Amino acid sequence: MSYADIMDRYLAELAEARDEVWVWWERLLQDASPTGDLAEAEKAVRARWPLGPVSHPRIVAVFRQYFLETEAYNESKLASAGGADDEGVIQPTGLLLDSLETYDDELSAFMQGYVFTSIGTDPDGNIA
Amino acid sequence: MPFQTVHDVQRGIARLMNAPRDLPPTAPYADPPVALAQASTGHQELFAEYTEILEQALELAEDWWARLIQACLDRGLDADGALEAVYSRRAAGPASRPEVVWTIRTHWLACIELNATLPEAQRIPPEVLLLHWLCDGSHDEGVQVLTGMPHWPIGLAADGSWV
Repeated sequence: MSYADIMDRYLAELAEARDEVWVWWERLLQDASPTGDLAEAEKAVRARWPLGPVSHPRIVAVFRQYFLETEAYNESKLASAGGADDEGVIQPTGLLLDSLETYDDELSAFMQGYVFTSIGTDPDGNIA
Repeated sequence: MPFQTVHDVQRGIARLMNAPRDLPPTAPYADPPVALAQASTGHQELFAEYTEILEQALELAEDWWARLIQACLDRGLDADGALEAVYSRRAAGPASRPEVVWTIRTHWLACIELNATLPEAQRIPPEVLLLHWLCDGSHDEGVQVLTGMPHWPIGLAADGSWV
């Protein structure tokens, strides 16, 4: 396991999910524009989805899956280093959002609007 | 002191109640939605548990949000600037608090699980349990906070399951 392994799988799944939700988004716009007025359609659809297609739950699912996986990987890295040295540890949002532009410009641009990470903390303090 | 937020609560209610209809259905839709008193015992119990846990999460969120704003004020920002600064990093406002997110997610998934045990006619869309029933006049802070979310913090896996 490495950050590169995580990113390889994340990029592939994210690209697949992005392609799915673009189809969904286009259909929403078409359904909202019986007269062909796409500006009106966009306004109507964005009232329900202000962040656009990036907030579709398929994207939330992919992001969350790899966020939790990165978090678990970081914990194992820290544990193997005795918990004292966090050098070389990349935080999940740093890896999955901030570093995206170094891998894929289009995916990076798509994820710019992903501003609500949808990551929780359970009553025991665990990220969930 | 109530939560300092900038969003329009009524628009938030409309957004979060209507957006799920653009997704695979979780339960039959009724207009108006089924009232809490007409729901199954299981849903009523789940709602009672949800509001209790949400209350605890909101207490954490209230302190946290007020401290974030105060820290910006202490740095010399005016009231508007402080709010702008805290929202710039937390688009869902106080609903960004991870305990709030966890509470919403956990009870969305619990509602899906409960629905699966019931006849279709008794199933309740999660957004009805999580938000519509909350709009009863006695959970105003919860409604204020939840409606700041740009979308529900829930995922849909490739196999169609909610995660």
